[in-house]
Parts: sequence; C-alpha cells; structure tokens
Amino acid sequence: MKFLAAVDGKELTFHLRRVNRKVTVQLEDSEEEVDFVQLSPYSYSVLVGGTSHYLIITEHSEGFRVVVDQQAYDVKITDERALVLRKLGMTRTAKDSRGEVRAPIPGLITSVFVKPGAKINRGDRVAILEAMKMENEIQSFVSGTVEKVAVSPGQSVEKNALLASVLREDDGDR
Amino acid sequence: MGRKIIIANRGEIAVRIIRTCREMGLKAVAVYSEADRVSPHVLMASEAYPIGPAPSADSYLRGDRIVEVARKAGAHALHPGYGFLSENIAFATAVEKAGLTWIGPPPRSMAQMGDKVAARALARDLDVPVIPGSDEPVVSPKEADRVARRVGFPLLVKAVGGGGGKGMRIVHTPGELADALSRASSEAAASFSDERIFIEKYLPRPRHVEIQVVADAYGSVVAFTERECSIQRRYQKIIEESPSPAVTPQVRDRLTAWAKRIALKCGYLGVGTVEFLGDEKGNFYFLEMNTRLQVEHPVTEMITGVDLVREQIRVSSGERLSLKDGSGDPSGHAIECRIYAEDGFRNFIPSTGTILGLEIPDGFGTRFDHGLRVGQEITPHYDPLLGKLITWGVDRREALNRMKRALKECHIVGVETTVPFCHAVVSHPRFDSGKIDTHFIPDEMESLKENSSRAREAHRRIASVVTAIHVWEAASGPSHDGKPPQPVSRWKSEGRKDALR
Repeated sequence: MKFLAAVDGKELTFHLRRVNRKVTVQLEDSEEEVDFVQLSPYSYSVLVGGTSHYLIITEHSEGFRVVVDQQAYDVKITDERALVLRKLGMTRTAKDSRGEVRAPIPGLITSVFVKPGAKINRGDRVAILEAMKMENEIQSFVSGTVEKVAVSPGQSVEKNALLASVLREDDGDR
Repeated sequence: MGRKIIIANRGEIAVRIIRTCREMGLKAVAVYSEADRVSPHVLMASEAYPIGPAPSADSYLRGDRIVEVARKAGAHALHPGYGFLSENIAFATAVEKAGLTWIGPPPRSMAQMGDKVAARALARDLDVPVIPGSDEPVVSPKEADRVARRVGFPLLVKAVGGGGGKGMRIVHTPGELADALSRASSEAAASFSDERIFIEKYLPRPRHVEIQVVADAYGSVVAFTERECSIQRRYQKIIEESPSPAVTPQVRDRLTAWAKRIALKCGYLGVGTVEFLGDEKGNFYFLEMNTRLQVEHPVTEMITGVDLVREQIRVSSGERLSLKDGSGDPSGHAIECRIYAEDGFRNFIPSTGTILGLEIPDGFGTRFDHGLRVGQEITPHYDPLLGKLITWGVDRREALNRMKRALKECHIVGVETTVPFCHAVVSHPRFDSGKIDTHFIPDEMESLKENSSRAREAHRRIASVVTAIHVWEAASGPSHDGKPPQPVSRWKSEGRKDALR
C-alpha cells in the first residue's frame, strides 16, 4: 500500500508491505525492514536494521502527534485511495488551504489583534487568551490573509474554539 | 510532637509533604476541590476532605473552610506548601487562633518580609547591601522624580506588597515615569490589594542567587549553599541548580552570613529563602525573602541529604535544629528542571488535557517529584507545574549529563510539557558554560529553537513511516503477530514474576 506522509511541511512517499512479522518500507531510493511492536495504546517499539527507536503517537484533530527522542512531529498521513483523489484534482479542499487558529486551552479573550482582510505572517499575534492566571499570546501558525475573526475581547472560549481563520499562502515551511 | 498534619495545598508539593509525614509516622490530611477528588495527594493521604468547587478562589484559597476542616479532622498542625495561602498573614494568624501549629514563620516575620520596603530597611540596618532605590513607598510623581534622579535610569517601579513580576515596570526615560507609576500601582492594587509602589535601580543582566535557611525557636539558624535560579521565563524560575557556577567560596561565605543575619533579625522560624541579585561585576544585593518552602528546595536536599520538610515540621513543633553549621556543606551538584504543562517553544502557552501515559525517569541520582496519575485531567484552574525532575552528580558535568539522560526518559503523554524545552536549555553551550543570567531564555530563544530543529532532521523519516504503519495497522485490524494491540498490564507481569520466584 502506498502512503504519503507530511511532516514539517516536507513530504515523503513510500510503499508498505507486510511479510510475516515484519513490515517492509519501500522508499524511492531504498528498502528497509521495520520490526514494529505496539506496546501500549500510545507507545511503539521499532527496530530498523538493529537500531532501536521508541515512539509515542497520539491522534489529534489535524493528524498525529509523534514524539521521537523528545522531539514532537505533527504528521499527516494520506493513503493510496486519498492519493488517487488527489491526482484527480480533488486535492485541495477548503480545509486544506485554510489555517484555523484555535484556543489551545479554555480561557478568556482579552485582546484581539487581527481584522478580516489583513495580511498575517506566521508567528504574528492573533489574540491574548487569559488562562491559568496568565496572559497567553496566541500566534498564527500560517502566513496568509485573515478570512474571519471569530472572537472579540471579553469572550470566554472553550478548548479548540475557533479564534480566526487564515487563507494560507504556501510558504513551504513547517 | 503531634500526630496529624493537614496540608492546605495540592499537586506535587502536597505529595512531597505527605511523603515526609508518613516517614515521620504522622497522619496526613488532604483537602481537595471538586476537580481533585482523584488527584494523587488525595489518594495518598490518610484522610481527605472537600473544600469547594474547582476554582482556587472557591477552594484552596478558602482559608475559613480549611481551618474548619482542620478542626473537625483533629489536626494539630497545618502545612501551607507554597503558593495559595502560604504567605497570607491573615490565614497564618487564623490557623494559630484556631489552636493549630502553623508550619511556617511567625506571622510577624511574614509581615515584615512581605513588605518589600520594610524588608529593604531591615537588610540595610544589618549592613546587607540592597539595590539602590527608594527607602519609603513612593507616593507622588514628584517624589518619584527625585528618587529617579538619584538612582538613575533605567529603573524599576515595583509593588511593595508582592512579587512575581506583577505590578512591576521597567522605566528607561524620565518621560515614562509618571505613567509607569500609575499603571504599576493599579496592577499592584488588583493583585495584592496594596497599591503602594517603590523604586529600585534596574540591573541589566542580573543573576538570581538565593540562600536557603532553617531556623529554630532557640536562636539557631543554618544557611545552606546557594541555589542558582537565573533560568527564568516571565519572572518565574524554570531551571535551578546548586551550587551556583558563578559563586566563589568568599562570596558564598558573605551571602550565607547575610542570610543568617536577616533570618535572625526578623525572628524567623522554619525554612525560608533569602534572594539576592548579582550584577555583571559580581556584586550581590538583597532582593527579598520568601517566607515559605520553595519549589526548588529539592536541589538543596540532594546535595546535603537534609529533608527540609522534616526540619520544617520539627522546628515548628518546638524541637531544636538537629543540624549544625556545616551540615550545609554540599556534596556534589544538583540540577532541577520544572516540568510545566506548557509548550516552551510556543511562548510557554499552557496546555490542558488528560494524562494518557506517564513514564517517570529513574536510575542513580534521579528524583522526580510530581503529582500525576494516568487518567488525571490537567485543568486550567491551577498552576501548570506538573512536577520537578532533579538529578544529582559528583560535579556539575555529571549532574548535567544525568539530567539530559533523565529528560529523555520522561514521557508525559496527553499534554504538552516543558520537557523538550528543558532538554534544549541543558544541552545549550551557554548553559553548559555557566555564563547565565535572567535574560537567558529571551536572549537564546532563537538558538534554542534552531538547535532543537537540527535534531529534527534525523527522525522525520522514522516518524513518518511508523505513523503510516500505525494508521495501516489500525485500518487492517489485529497487528502482525496475530494479537490485537494491548496495553501491557504491570499487575499481570508483576504477578507472573512473583509466581516464578
């Protein structure tokens, strides 16, 4: 089965084949055998050519959060079927091109810094969210044009509440 | 000595105190909010009583309810931990009025050191250097101008009644002074119900160094080797170590002598911390005294072998210090990393969620004080400190290498934590060199991010491939060994081991 993985804005295509206990990964330039064991609902042991890796994988709304060696990666996986759809030009759904800035924790919005139609860069502040007795600056994780601002100062928000949506401009970055 | 101690706190510090109570053969009583019914401090205590809804203003800050619970439970003493009511003079007084022992300094000493202007005056009278500034609270812009001309710019306007960066402003030019004064004053009024403000010279790149003291009721005070606490974010410490890489034996002697003098003068009892700021020339100035157990007390415990909570409980019940001067002589080096539910690489934004998995580092010289449990909710109601990882080594190098190793073993699944950020800091060449000051984090943020993203390259491929296998396995049912993936049950495997013995 063919897969496409996107991490840090970089894509990797490979085939997975299962032979008895092992999974063979076929990449463009190489092939490697992976001994894969799930240890708990979130943890995995992987041996690749004798090298031992321990990974933690949790699922979230946008894909998977993978921790290897205390480094966190946001991984999106597209399988064969989705790849075919993508080839047919049905790739970019509205959701793909839109960056949604959401509240990472519940709290109170005390300031909003963006207006619809404004240009915004990755790292620019979108709003101040007061929670855990601290003022937290919420930054945009994409560059583009602000499409919608969903909150105003004084409003309480739940975790994952939409704060603003940004029409993404590809910056090829993570 | 009595037999039952009530702990007016939660989280890692409540767990820490309960442990010492148990070791001393004392019963520990926990209090809990509705959000904490199944939190570890409740599970560990011998008794536990509810004190109100989740918000701390309705529970852990309700001194009246806590005193009531203490009375009903028949507790003889109350330990406030840190934060919450630990520096609240009215609460300490109410605890004593209720006939309980307050495990802390006398309210009189708390009041004297809690008022920053009074504390400065006390230090000055003892010939302990203080940062140049105002001797009295500054009441008018005109008076502020006069003080400003004397100390020079940049300067700080600070709240008389508090700390933690609240009610504090840096002022660079005379024109900003009046505005800063009124803003700081209203912030101080809101945070500490005390609008008084004073002025201090701004030290541009200070080190934060502090001395732990323990005093008994018979005039004995022991001061320990300093803790270096310069790695801070938002005026809050995140990494501490002892000894400081920058303090010479001569400076150490001076700082410990000053700290003892201050503790004696204010009639101190129990454990406390005298904080100093050091400038670029190596001069140190008295900053303030924290009249409670500090978050970072374990680094001192690790290099001295002294259980500070035990000493605190003993002296508060009228026993003499078992320590002598010199007990504080350190052996080796200890480092602490505070593990907060925050993403250090994204502006320390707090994270909430359910703890799905917990892998605690251990091994030689490794200690992890925490209040965590699998299944626990991390809510926005309380301080985001989840736990503290402390390592000890024969020297700084060994403690540091051990810390890097231990951080790699630490997995708290379900919320973002400062584990990766702390790893980046302790791996940074400037931290390694010991040339640190309180601006380290903002100054080095870009290089910390860069070093961290360099390490990313290596594992991108393995992360991609394994996630794809995970998706594939989940879609195609049972895994390749024919069994559905199952969490390993510790109980079962321990049981099997027992059966084989």
